[in-house]
Amino acid sequence: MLSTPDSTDFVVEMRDIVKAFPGVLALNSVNFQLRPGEVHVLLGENGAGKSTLIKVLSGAYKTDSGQILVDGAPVSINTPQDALDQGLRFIYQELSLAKNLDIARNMFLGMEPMRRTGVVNERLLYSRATEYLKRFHIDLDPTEQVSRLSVTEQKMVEIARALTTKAKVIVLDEPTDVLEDRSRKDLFQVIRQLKQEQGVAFVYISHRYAEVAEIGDRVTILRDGANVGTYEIKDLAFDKMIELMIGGEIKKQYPDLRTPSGENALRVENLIRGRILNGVSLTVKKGEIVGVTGLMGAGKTELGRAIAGVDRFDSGNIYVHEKAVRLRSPKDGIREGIAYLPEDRKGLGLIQDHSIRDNFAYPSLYRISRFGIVDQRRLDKEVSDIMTRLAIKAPDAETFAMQLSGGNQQKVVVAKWLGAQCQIMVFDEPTRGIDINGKREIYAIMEELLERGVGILMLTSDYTEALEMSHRIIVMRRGAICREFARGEATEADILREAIGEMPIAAQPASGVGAAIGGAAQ
Amino acid sequence: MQKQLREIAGPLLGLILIWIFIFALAPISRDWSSVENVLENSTGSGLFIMCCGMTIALIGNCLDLSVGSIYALASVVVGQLLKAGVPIPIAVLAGLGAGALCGIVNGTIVSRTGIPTLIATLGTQMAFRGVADMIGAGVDMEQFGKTFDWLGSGLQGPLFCSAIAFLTIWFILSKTRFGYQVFAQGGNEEVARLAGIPVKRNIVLIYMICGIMAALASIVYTARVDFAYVDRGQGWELLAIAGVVIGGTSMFGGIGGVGKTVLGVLIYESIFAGLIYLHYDAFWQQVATGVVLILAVWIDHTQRRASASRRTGVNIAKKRSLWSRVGIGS
Repeated sequence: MLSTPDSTDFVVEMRDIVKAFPGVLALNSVNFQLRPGEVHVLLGENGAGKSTLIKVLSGAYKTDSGQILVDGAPVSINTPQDALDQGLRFIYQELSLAKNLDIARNMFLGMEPMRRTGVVNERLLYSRATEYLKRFHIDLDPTEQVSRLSVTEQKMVEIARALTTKAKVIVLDEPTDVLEDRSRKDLFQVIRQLKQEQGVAFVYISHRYAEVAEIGDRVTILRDGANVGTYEIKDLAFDKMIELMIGGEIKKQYPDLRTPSGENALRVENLIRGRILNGVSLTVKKGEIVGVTGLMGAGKTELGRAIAGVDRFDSGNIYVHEKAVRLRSPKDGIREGIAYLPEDRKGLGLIQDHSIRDNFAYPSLYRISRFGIVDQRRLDKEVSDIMTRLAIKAPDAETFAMQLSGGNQQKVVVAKWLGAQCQIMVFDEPTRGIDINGKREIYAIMEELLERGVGILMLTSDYTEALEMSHRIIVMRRGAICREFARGEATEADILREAIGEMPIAAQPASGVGAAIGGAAQ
Repeated sequence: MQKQLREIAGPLLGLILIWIFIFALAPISRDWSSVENVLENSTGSGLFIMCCGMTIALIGNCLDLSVGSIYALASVVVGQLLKAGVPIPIAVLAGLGAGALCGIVNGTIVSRTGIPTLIATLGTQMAFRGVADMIGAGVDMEQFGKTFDWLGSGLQGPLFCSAIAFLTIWFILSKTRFGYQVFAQGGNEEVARLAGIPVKRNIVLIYMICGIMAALASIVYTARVDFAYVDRGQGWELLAIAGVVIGGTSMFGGIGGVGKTVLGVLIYESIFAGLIYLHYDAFWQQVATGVVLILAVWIDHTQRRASASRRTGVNIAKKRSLWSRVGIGS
């Protein structure tokens, strides 16, 4: 199965891949080479470009420029079908099996062996499925319905399915995030066997260093859409890896945040929700910004939503100004003065085709109406007041939200929650997707909120933002708080280390490690 | 005020154009009675009243396909009661109550199960008609007396009832907290929920109001023709939607107003009147209904989709009146 060495050394080669989204250069001339029979780990911070790169390879995105070669021959991959035709298989975090069907039918979905009459040859279907499962030591009954399998077993079935057709490359996107320790071993066993016996190459995306070192042969590190180096894993120390992921950025100036008053605006005790939040406790003082950060899926958003009453939780206590509150809906949250400002500003912050005035009114309707009738004069006055106070740039209050710039939209979002007299604001990714100037405006609004005594819980995946805009920084990992830093105490590397949460297996001197194998960014 | 005028400029212009067209081609129509005729048709059949209810339903993103069946049900409820000698006010209230009850059923199904409104109300459309048949199939219900008949006679009765319906819905939509909430949840349900709006309770209220309006519409017509009959209102849900959407209220929620519906229904009835003046027979009216409805919704839909694709990542889009799409008005 190994491709002949003289034709090419790489089973997949991506050359100078460029992909831009409006306002963001997601991939900046990335080179990536995959050898047959290797497990190649793709590392990088949130938003470094890992998944964009994979989506380019899978045909989900079209590149702006660059070339993809399979077995040394240039190919054009424009649709997911093209990628399949080239022998590339993708296994995503979310499972993609038809749960109502059994294992065998899933494995051969769309490729069922047929009799000449045009009906499915069921005997052959099941005997082949049995054969494949046995070959990879997957101990499952092919007639079992997929919905009855555990998550690990489903993952295994997905891999088995990838192998039923001649797979050259299997891309695994954070496959073990959902797996238990023991089943992870099973998965690795299958991977090792496949690469040795069949020469299948794997692209493996993961954040877990220990795991990376255990299964990976080589690693490519992406940062800000560029390849910053490809290394043999055994040559790369943990500290060096972290350094590469963050880059040797110069520390930026922290703005002077005024010291908070000392009174607790919000206190959360032992918040538990299923397996998503495992006993989170924290406090936010009046006039304080507490930054909550962590990897994707660490539970930041879920925490914020639970605190604001948007999602229910199983147990735990929430105190507002040291008074215990019960939150069963966003309405309860607003009554207690807690606002949740979602990440998706355009979709969930404002109603885009309604006016500033109406958007402002929605969370305050109960306050500004009497006997069910809205006091329009009072509403108009409050809107014009707050538009002046927050310097919202718009012709008038009847302007539609969608006609405003990103920064001004965020101001209207803040305005509406100020109008609802919320003293605690949960900002979910306040500046994601906003340009530098917009960010500056939003930080200015946050500082102004602090002066009004508002307590802010800022959920962010941007470590720089957490470092610069928080009085305290809380790092979450798998639904729990793993570390709290005071302002100025931590560096990006400290945060990332805590967020990943696994220490190096072999400590190596920080200098002189990592022989670049080639493929470094131009 | 100026802004409001700009918003209805499109439909208003459309209405005027239709009449210029009719007057030009059919000399017989050049008479005050033809205008009166359109008004009577709009109000006397109850279509306008039903459209008032449909307006609040569509703004709140609560499509209601069961209004035609409610129309039939209310007719036989009132008919049976009047025939049994129940006092008129009580019979009328019972008819409205039947409509309200149907609406509550609709709203409860939609808000509790999360079934798409289209399917849920298609189901109740069948069910309500079945109930109506149980009550009134094959029963003779007529001659309810002058007092009741006034509600539907001539132009005054229907106009009076229509004015009540219009003012009620207008007041709710533009003055009350509930009205603001209807716009909010029709615009974006999740944003509304995050703003503390009791979305599910409101869904029930919206359907209830829509049901009451369908019942009132039915009472007016029952009074007008002076007999109750179960086989009424078939396909009327589409007429109601057409009337509302032509006026410029969005099929997709969050945008519109009952003032627009006045124009929408007038345009719709004027097209019909025009077909008659131009000697097209009744079958053409059905064709015209279908064409007008599809056209109206198509324009609303493409506009929404076009603006959605322009703004990447946003699936709530600009939902302005269809008139701005064809280049008239705002």
